[in-house]
Amino acid sequence: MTFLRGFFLVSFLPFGIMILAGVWLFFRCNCKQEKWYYPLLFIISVLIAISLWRIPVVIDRRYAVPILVPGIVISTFVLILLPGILDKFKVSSAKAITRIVIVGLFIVCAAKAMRPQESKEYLHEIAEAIKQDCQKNNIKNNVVLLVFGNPGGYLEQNNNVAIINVKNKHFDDKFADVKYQFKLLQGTLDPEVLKIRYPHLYLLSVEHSITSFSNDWEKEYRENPKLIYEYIRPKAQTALRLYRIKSPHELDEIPLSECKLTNKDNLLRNGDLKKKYRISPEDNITKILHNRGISLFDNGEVYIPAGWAINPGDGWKTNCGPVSIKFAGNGTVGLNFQSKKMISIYSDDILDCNKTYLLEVHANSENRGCLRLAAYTYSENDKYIRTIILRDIELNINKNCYRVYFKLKDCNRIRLALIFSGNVTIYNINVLLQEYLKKTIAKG
Amino acid sequence: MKFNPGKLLVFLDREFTLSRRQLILAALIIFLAGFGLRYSYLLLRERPPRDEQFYIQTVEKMTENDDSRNRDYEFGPLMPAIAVSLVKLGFEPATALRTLNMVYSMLWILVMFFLCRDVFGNNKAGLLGMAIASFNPYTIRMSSQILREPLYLLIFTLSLWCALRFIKSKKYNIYPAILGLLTVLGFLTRYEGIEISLFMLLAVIIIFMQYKWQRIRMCIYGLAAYLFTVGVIIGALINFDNAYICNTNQKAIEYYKLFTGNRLK
Repeated sequence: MTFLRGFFLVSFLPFGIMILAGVWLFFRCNCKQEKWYYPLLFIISVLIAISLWRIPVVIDRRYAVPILVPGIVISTFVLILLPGILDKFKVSSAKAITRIVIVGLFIVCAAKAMRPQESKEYLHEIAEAIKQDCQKNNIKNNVVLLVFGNPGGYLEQNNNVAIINVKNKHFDDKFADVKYQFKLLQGTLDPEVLKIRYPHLYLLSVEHSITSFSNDWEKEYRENPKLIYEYIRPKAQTALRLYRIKSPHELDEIPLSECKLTNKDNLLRNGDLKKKYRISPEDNITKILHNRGISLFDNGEVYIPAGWAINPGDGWKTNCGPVSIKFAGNGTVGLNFQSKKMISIYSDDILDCNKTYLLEVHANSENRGCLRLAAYTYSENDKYIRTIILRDIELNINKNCYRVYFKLKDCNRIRLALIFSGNVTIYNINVLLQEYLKKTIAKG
Repeated sequence: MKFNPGKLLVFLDREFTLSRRQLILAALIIFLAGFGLRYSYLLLRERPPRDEQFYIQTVEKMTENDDSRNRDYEFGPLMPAIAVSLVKLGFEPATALRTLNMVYSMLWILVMFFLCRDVFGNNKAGLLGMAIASFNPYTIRMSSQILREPLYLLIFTLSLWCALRFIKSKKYNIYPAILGLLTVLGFLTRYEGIEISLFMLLAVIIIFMQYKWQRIRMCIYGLAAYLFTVGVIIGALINFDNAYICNTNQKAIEYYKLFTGNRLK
């Protein structure tokens, strides 16, 4: 059924009917002796092959548009057969009817193409509502917008809004099928995980004007999203509602001089980066990077902090440009990373899941480089599950201390990862249990 | 219900015949109607889609960098690369992309004529196919936007036509080699272009169904010519360090790891 719905959507209904009729007629006819039999069989086999892989994975009509090419040939076949079929059924003036059908088809096609599009100012207004809401709440970091249902066009994009279209059950469904869609919000799309990374979650629901997405959300996630924008399309009785959920995990940005935590209770063994480890050009990982055209050894020996390792599976792509990793001198301990695109290192120290941690990083950047704090999650038998992005931070020239609290579920172990792009220097990494912090505060 | 279509194909066999002059005139009228519809849609359109800006910026970036081996490039580079050459002639990036898309779309209508004509072996079928192509609402809309689809449709249809010429030919010819070139061009336009490689396989199967072992030598030569062309061009691109091809290779490895859970710790 999904296949047929998709097929009619991508091929335009009159053509869709003609294509199916054409395929049916072709396989019903005794026409092996006809010159066009094998060429048309080839065209039909291409149509079937392309449809089978394009339609189930299609997310937009234009991605399935090549189906039209064999479809047009088959439609031509049907129109060629039409006067003969009408004649066979003894329909008078078969030729005239065929001409009317052809002319009618072209008029319908032209009208469909030229149909003036509905003015969709709400697509602009939704982006504007998010922008203003972020300004009002002093949010400078990226936020995420989860879209439930089909808003009927591309939402205008702000640079700091990550738009995620939550897949609907049928790709041509207009209204959000929340029961189905909530099941998809797992892993990296789990709202609890998204709230660690983003200070605000925005939810856009496309629903019937009398239904309430917020009630469904509240039932599922036990929190009430705040309505910040609503537009009701009167003709279609469609309501587009934009909600906001505030994250409890705020990123603290504190000047380094006011950062009071010590490394004593740090769960990372080499959080102060004092111990170094020399990477050998003969290591498997450096060989992998070398095969991608990334050379770390242009400026001599390369060291990374002991207890940390490079992960070529996270960033480190062929286009990350010249990469350098070096420890800063002049009495300060700092590790400087330079690259055009993302490169990553991760810690060997294992943390347990289901506990609340404070992750604190001291860092700065001379050219507004980016630091991504992430966690690799593992199952009981140490099998990698997924990467959870904890926070993206745009650094500045001042040495600051960045703190984020996080608690991860549905895993057994965690390894921390740092992902860099641009020119980034880190000085210290602390991971502390929330219990430790409570004790410290109580003592203090 | 079984029927004999030979008697039903009155449109092809018994209807009016077209002189060469009438054929060209009819094709020209359909062609102009197609152009008129596409141009009108361009004028009617209210808001440019989101992707347009992305392609315009890409062309601007590629023109500024003047680097055909641009490592930032992670999606099909063919469409913007052609536009860059027009920009260097003095066109605005948006105008260059829009003009090219209109040209691809109009060429596609022409190729649809040849495709339908060669399937049914009749000029009238070609004209009918051409008319359906030029009035199709989705292709009208697409040709007026800056997207990769018009170029991809053109390459896809040309590939289909080459495969069809190979099926209809009596001995080996140049078409498999052209199909090889078009497969690579399709892939350089969109990742999904890899589907064009199916055409050669399907063509060989159809020839085998039709002639059994009689034309097996032609099939083998055709396949060899096809694979040789694809291999040589891909090899040349890898040697030229084309970031798109190399990234695809890397992506394939990463997808494999993702599916097998064999991610590096």
